[in-house]
Amino acid sequence: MNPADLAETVYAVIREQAATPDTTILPDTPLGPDGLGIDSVGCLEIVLELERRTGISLRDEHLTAESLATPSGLVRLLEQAGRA
Amino acid sequence: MAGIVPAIAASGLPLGWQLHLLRAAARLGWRQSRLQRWGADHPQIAVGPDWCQRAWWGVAAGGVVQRHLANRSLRAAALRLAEPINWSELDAARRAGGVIIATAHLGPPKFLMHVLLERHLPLLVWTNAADLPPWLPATTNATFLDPLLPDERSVLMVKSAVHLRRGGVLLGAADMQTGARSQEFDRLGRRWHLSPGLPALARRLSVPTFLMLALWQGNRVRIDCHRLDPPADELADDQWQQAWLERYWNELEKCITSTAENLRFLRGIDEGRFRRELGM
Repeated sequence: MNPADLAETVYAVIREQAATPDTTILPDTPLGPDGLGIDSVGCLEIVLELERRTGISLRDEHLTAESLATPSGLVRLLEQAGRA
Repeated sequence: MAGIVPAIAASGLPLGWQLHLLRAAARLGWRQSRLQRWGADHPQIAVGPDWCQRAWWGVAAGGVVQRHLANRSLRAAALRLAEPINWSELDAARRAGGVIIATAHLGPPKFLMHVLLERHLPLLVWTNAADLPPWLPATTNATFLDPLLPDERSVLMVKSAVHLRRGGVLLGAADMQTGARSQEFDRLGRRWHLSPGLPALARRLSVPTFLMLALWQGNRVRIDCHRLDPPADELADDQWQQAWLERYWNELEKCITSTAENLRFLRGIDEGRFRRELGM
């Protein structure tokens, strides 16, 4: 998957989980309570769905609070895991 | 008698004697009015003549044991309170992959975690970091995540999923709300908020769940361990999680209504004040 498709997939999956799907989602929009209101269970759903759609498996060493905090963090996380 | 728990724990007496001393203290009826009120508010719980004494003893004895567990040189004495444990069903499940161990805030605090740490399982533990002795993490290969810390909570579910997929064991409790989401239950005359994190992982990863509780049995600790039957696959995710939590709760309710010494009063009692009265 090329970087543009990867980013598009990330945004699409986040939008499906967001409490208000019509909200504008920017690269640094917080996924959590200060932004899209996605909790840790919702975050799990996002990650598992991204793994399914991209074929990339995340590993523990890639996972940080920062990587799961914003859309851009998730894109970087998947890029990093995809290279590993 | 303020501070009875630290006083007894520091007495230097063998732990068994300390627990017997607390039984004698419980019979004095000291500081039990709060427990009597809690019992009166829960008519489904048979509050017999010795109920308050047993409940008080359970909290105080739990405090003494927790102090032993937190002390590197006394920890083994506390762990010797455990009755022999049948690990066969859990071990068999582990050979097939990741396993969730669902526990609860009943019985002596942190006892089960220490028992599992001694077994050297590939363990990820959801626990309040403030309850961890500073020396403990360095002596184990287990991973600890605190659901109450925002940074750790944000990665808790995903790290747990990765851990389970790698065949690890996850230890957590679902009997209190730690995140934004909760499942509400009206039982025993009041509303309880359970956390959907464990059932969400069980559902999404199709991993088995074992209910494990460390419970007082006399002055010993019995470790109950059995598989929690999963709800029917055809249920929608939210219904499946609700059914999982109901099964979990039903098991806890048996304990809550039958053994006073295993109650820890995390809800419905001024827990902070109660514990301060005991010096905990």
